[in-house]
Amino acid sequence: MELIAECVNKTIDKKIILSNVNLKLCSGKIYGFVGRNGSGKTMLFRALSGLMSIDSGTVTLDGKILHKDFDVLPELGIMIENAGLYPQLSGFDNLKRLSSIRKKADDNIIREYIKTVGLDPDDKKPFRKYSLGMKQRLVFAQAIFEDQKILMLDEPTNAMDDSGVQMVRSILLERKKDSIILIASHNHEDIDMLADEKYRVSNGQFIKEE
Amino acid sequence: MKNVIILCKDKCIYLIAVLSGIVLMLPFAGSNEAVKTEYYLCAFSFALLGQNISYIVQFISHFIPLFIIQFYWGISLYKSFCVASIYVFSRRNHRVKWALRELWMLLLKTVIFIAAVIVPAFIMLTLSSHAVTDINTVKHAVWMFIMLSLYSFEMIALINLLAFFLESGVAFAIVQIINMLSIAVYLLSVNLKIDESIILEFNLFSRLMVEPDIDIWKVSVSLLYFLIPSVIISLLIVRAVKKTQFTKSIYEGDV
Repeated sequence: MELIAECVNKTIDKKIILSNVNLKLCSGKIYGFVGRNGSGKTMLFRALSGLMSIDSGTVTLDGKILHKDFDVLPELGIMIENAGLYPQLSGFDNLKRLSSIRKKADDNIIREYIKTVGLDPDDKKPFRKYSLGMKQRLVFAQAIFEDQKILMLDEPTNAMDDSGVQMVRSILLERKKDSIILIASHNHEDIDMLADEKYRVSNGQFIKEE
Repeated sequence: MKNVIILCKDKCIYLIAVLSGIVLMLPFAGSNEAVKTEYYLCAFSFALLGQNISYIVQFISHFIPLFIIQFYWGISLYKSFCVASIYVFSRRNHRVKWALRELWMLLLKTVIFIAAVIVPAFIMLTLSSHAVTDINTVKHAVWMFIMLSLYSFEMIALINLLAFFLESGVAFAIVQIINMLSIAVYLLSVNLKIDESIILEFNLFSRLMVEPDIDIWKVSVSLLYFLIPSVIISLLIVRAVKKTQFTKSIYEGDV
């Protein structure tokens, strides 16, 4: 798989969010994005995924054009900071409701993934009562439980304890061979350890670090 | 099958519909008068209520089932953009297809709701009064059913559409203000110093009325009066769904 962004620009309320972004992202690699809050990391994920339109430029996946051939990238697993799940539903019910859209994961797979991220699939507690770390684990589970091949993870280890951080790292390294993985993080250790290519983000510009 | 499950989820609201229809018809149930059934059924479409402010209580009470449905499904489509929206729409590859399906389901649910208001009440009236039921009664009930369904769908769709641009509470309030103004203008129309027929030509509730002696021209025009805006609003909703950008999390709480 090859995800290409060419000359992508986006301005919101006269503020440049993405400025002439050119990226070539391939399966088998993890791409790390580091930068200050508001530098454009999350907006890049929204633009590349199709959740946000772009003013100019193109995003293509294996030659197919985003917003023309599809509304969002197929096989996308995304995790956006502060974007929650259904607050009134339990972890299992949340994933079950989401799985009804693509119909790729049955109850057993959902249970298995909830266990994988260190949560209890039989826990009836609603999402809104989860601790921050538990919420983060469940949101991570929703990004991977349908065997998604394009992962865009915004601060995936935020608020997680050491075991959570290790779990995320090992799953991503395992998934790396047949997926395109993008990680935005303040945590330099995550990026240094996981990323094959690193980009520094500043004012909507993406500069590759050698 | 999936559609049936979705429709069954709302069984509580259909029960309310049945009860409100029966309650509205209760005053006529024990009647010994040999009146045509459509004269009683008219209560649902506000016909035969006079143009006088003293009718306001009847008007409002007949409006209650329509208000309930607008309250219940008013933001049913829009709320998909409020909770877990990023994780839902990152999985939906064709938003237009989704929006069309949602609108179709909304229309279907509205039609079932209106049927749940009218049909049991109609049966109860037929069995418990001396009212005369003939082919004209059925014709009248069908027209009324179509008109009420279209009106309700139009209002529900309008709340959903406005919610995309305003806060959902504001969207609901605007539509209720339109409803209340329409009722007020209808009731006061004879007192206004403007040509009454012109005012009533564009009045929501005047258009909703299906009188016992059906004027086929009037009901056909009324049908278009509700049908055309419904189609336009639906197209605008599809456009809004297509154009919505997830530049930030839209979150209005647990709606």
